[in-house]
Amino acid sequence: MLKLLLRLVAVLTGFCVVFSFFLALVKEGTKEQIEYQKLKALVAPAVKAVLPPSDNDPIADRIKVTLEGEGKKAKVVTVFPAKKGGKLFALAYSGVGSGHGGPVESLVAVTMDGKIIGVKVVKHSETPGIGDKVVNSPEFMNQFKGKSLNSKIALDSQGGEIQAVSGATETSTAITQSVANAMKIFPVIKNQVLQKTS
Amino acid sequence: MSRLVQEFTKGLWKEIPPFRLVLGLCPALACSTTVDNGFGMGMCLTFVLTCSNLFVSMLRKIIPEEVRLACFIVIVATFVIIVELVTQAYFYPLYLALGIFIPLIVVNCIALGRAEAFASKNPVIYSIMDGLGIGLGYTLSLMTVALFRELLGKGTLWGHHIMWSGFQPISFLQKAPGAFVCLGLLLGIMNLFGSEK
Repeated sequence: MLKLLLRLVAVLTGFCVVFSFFLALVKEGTKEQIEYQKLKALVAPAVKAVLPPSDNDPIADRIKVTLEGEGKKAKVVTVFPAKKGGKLFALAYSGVGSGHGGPVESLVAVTMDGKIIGVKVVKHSETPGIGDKVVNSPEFMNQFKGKSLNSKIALDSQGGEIQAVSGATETSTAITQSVANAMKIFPVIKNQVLQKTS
Repeated sequence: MSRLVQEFTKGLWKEIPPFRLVLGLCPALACSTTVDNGFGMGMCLTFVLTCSNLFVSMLRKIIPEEVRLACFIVIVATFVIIVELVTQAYFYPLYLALGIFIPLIVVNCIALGRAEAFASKNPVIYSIMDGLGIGLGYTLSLMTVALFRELLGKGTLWGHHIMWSGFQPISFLQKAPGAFVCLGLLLGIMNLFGSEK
C-alpha cells in the first residue's frame, strides 16, 4: 500500500518536473518575439503617428535604456529609434504625468538635437467626455511641436506657453507634465542610445 | 500499413469531431465565425492532439492506473501552453481572435478523450495517426461550419468580399445560436448520407 502510494507520488512529481522544465524552455525561447508582437499590435500605431517615416522598423530596433537603479528595481524606458540613410535622427519614448484618474502616459518623439516633433497619449484613465477632449484635440497636442530642451514646458497659468483646454485643466496639466518629464530625461536617453548603437 | 491508414481516416469521416463524437462543441461554436479562425483553431488542436497522443502512448506503461487522468492533463496542458506561446509569438492576430479558447483546449473533451480511449491503449505510431486524423477532421468540420457562417453571415471568405454588392449578410449566423443551427443542419445532412444504424 505504502509502496503504491510512493510510486504514485514519484510518477506524478516526475511528470510535473519534466514537463514544466520543458515549458520553461519554450517560454524563454518565445519571450522576445512575444514582446515584439505585443508592441507591434499595441504601440506601433502610436509610434507611427509621432515619428516621421523612417528607413528602419523602430519597433524591431527598440532599445532598453536604464535610467536609475539596478536589477529588478531599475527604471527602464523603451526607446524607439528612427533612422534615415543609416543615421539616427529621432527617438520616441514615453513620459508619465499624473492626471485626474491616474497616470497619463504620452509617447514623445524628439529629434536628436532635442526638438519635439510629435506627442501622442498612449495610456490614460481620464473622465470620458472631459479628459479625452484634450487627448483627442490636435490643437492642444500640436502646441508641443517645436519645443526644445531649453523651452519651459508648462501651462500658461504656470508661466509656460501651453494653452490648456478649458474645462479639462487637470488632464491638460497631466499631459504637459508627461511631456516635460520625458524631455527631462532626454539627455540621459540620448547618451545611452548613442552608446548602445555605436 | 492498412491499420495505419485506417486509424488516420477514421477521424476524417467515421469518427469526425464534433459531428460524430459530439465533443469539443464549445470551441466549435466560438471559433467558426470565419474560415481563418476555424483553420487556426483546428491546427492548434491537431498539434495538441498529436503531441499528447504521442507522449501518452509512449509513457502508457509507466503511468499508474490510479493517477492516469492527472498525468494526461499535465501532458495536454503542457502542449496547450506551448501552442499558446507560439501563436502569441508568431501568429498574434490569430491569438487575439481565438483568445480564451486556446487555453481552454486543456479541458477540451477531445484531447482527454483520445488520450483515455485510444493513446493509453495503443502503440505510439497508431496513436500519432489517430491524433492527426481526429485533429484534421476537426479542422475540416470547423472550416465547413465556418464556410457557411462566414459566407452567409458576413459575405466574405478568408476575409475577402466575394458576395455581390447588394448582398445583405444574415448576421444571425455570426452569433452562437446561428452556429448551433448550422452545426445541427450539417449533422442532419451527414446522417442522411452516412447513417449506419
